[in-house]
Amino acid sequence: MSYLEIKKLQHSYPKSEEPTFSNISLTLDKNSTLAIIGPSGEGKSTLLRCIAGFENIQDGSIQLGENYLCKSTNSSLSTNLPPEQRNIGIVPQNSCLFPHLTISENIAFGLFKLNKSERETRVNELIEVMQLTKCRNSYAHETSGGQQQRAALARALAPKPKLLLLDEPFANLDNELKTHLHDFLNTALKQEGITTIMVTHSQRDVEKLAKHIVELKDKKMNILK
Amino acid sequence: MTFTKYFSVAISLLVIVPIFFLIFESLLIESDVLAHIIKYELTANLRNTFALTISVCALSAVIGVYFAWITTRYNFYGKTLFEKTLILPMAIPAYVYAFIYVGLLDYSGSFQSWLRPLMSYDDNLIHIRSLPGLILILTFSLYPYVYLITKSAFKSISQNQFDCSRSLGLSSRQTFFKLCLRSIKPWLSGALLLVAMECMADFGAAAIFGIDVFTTSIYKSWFGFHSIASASFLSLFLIATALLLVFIKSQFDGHNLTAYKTEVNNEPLSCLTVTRSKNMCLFLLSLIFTILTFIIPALQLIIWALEIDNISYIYNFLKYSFNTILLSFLGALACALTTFFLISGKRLYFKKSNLILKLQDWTLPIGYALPGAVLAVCIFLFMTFLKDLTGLTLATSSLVTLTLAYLIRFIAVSYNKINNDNKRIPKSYDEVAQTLGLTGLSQIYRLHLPLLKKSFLVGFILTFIDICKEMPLTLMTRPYGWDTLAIKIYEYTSEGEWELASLPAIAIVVIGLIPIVMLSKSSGAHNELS
Repeated sequence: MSYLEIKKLQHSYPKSEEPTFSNISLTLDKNSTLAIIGPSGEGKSTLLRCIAGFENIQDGSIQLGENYLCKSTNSSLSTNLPPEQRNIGIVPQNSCLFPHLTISENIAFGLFKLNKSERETRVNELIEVMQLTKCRNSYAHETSGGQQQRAALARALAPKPKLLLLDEPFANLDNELKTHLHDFLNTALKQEGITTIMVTHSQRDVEKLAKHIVELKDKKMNILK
Repeated sequence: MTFTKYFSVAISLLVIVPIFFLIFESLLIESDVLAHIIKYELTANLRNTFALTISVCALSAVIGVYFAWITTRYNFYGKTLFEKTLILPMAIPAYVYAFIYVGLLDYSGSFQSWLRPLMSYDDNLIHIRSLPGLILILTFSLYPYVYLITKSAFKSISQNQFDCSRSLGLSSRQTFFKLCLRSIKPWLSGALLLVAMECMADFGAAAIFGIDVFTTSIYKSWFGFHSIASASFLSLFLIATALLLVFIKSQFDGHNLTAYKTEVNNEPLSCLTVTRSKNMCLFLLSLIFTILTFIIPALQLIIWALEIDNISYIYNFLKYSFNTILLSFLGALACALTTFFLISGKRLYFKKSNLILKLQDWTLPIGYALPGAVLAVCIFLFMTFLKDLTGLTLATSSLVTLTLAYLIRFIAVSYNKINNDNKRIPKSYDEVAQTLGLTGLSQIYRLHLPLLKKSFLVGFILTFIDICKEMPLTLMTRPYGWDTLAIKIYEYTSEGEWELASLPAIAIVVIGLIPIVMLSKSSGAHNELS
């Protein structure tokens, strides 16, 4: 049985006559990485938001492991876990670090269920993997774009999510930095053993990181690899 | 160049020198007077002022943040309207609120007169002239500062940040407390500092309620006991407290606000549609608050004003209106012109930041931070010194003195406006003008004036409105026969003549509404206002 199973998913925005996408099905094994590519405006980010629980689906289901995250029949949601109960990490395009917290406080943000020493251990571990030691006490605006993106990744990985969603995580970075971050991400994902879905427009991101590739085009999903 | 330097230094010194006279005078206080102040004035003043400041800050924080959050985050009936009505209390000075609610809720007020027979009870049902009453009134008047500033702050939080927090396991409620509330901390502390300063500077509302606070004691010491030394000592104490608050705020902030700019690609927090029952709750809450803070006061003023049928009163009202307009015009013109020449001098002759510019930027806001009653004492001491020094019969209560007092107190208002707009004009404009042969006055007239005329006008209007509403400074420094609308409110309300105070109050509220309407029509009204 697949780890992530999306069946006949349909989504529409409230005031839109056309669905964003419909009848989307997808499966993904544990510890693998999937890249979703396709033209802009086809609903790639919306699909990620549906999986994370920020958008309600109109039809279909999303199952992670043995649990349904959401399930809908005839436009009525029978199951719909709120985002905080899904244990899914997300890294948006522009890092979205919380400006009032330092890098280490940002990483520790989702670890509120751990006690202090466990929290510190986990934060130190990620700071080391992501090479953020020098800027651990800096605020986001005091760090470089690459450091911000690594910190956002560390923050998403900190609670050991069952699934990691990356929404064009390297879109605003230069090529040199991208190569550097690809290595970081590969190391981190292997080390943490996390299943990942990534939305990207970059061929390099796909080549470097993805094991499977699907294309979302004309509201339909095509499996490319 | 030399003139510009001297002018800039002179204006900076004009703002701070009177404070040194205050310090010097308070050192001259006699030991028995000091003992009397410590025993009878200081304890009560400290207790009342601190209880008032802390309570008003706490209430304003809760109310302001709550309304800022619900109008940012939720869609509910009348939301667009309430976003505007919730800032209307800014047009009503605290002393106007004070006499309206005292007149309405006091023992002889219309509300209790109607309620007592219904309840078959003859005692005072509502003790409005009390510290809790004053706290409520000042909260009504001051919570919009917190509302406006935190609403603008909530807009800097992006939907992505909110979503990230949810994906990290925090519920919406937890995200509000752990992310949103914590990230607006610098704005909130700034807004609360403003509220605290306004509380400590309040004179009119406390005087109407008969509650002893620092400002009323300064007035009593000077005009009741004719002891300028004790007034100076109390003023110095108030300044020290204000400085302490500024220090606490700077410690509380931690780091600067530049970190908080919403990234360009980030969507602001989205507005959520709420359930029908929650929708109704939010609507009713906003409506009740609007009724309490604007509709009831406005209606009460109109009812009282309609009861006036005295022709000589109307004549006097017009006279006081004329005084108010003339004094405000003189004060606002002095502020706007001085600012304009300071800014032009800065553009023409100061290519880089230097000590003079730093002194100017540091000193000019001080006058606005000083309570009017304190500044009045400073000005009196300064003018008395000038009189002794020059031998000129510079009356301490003359139009010149009053205009000077307004200049020191309100130059920050026009300076902030014109200086901020000036910063947006590239320096290359001046360089191009110089290559085309424009220098000095011709550069000011042909380049700076056209570019800054709108800012000059807005700075002038904002200062004009602030002076119209000003009470303690005018009360203590005005020349004989120059009563303004605010002074008449003070005098009428001292004698419980609520009806007579209503017409001047309506005039002040209407004037106060001008910037709110003006700014709420322009885009980004909340940012502009806050």
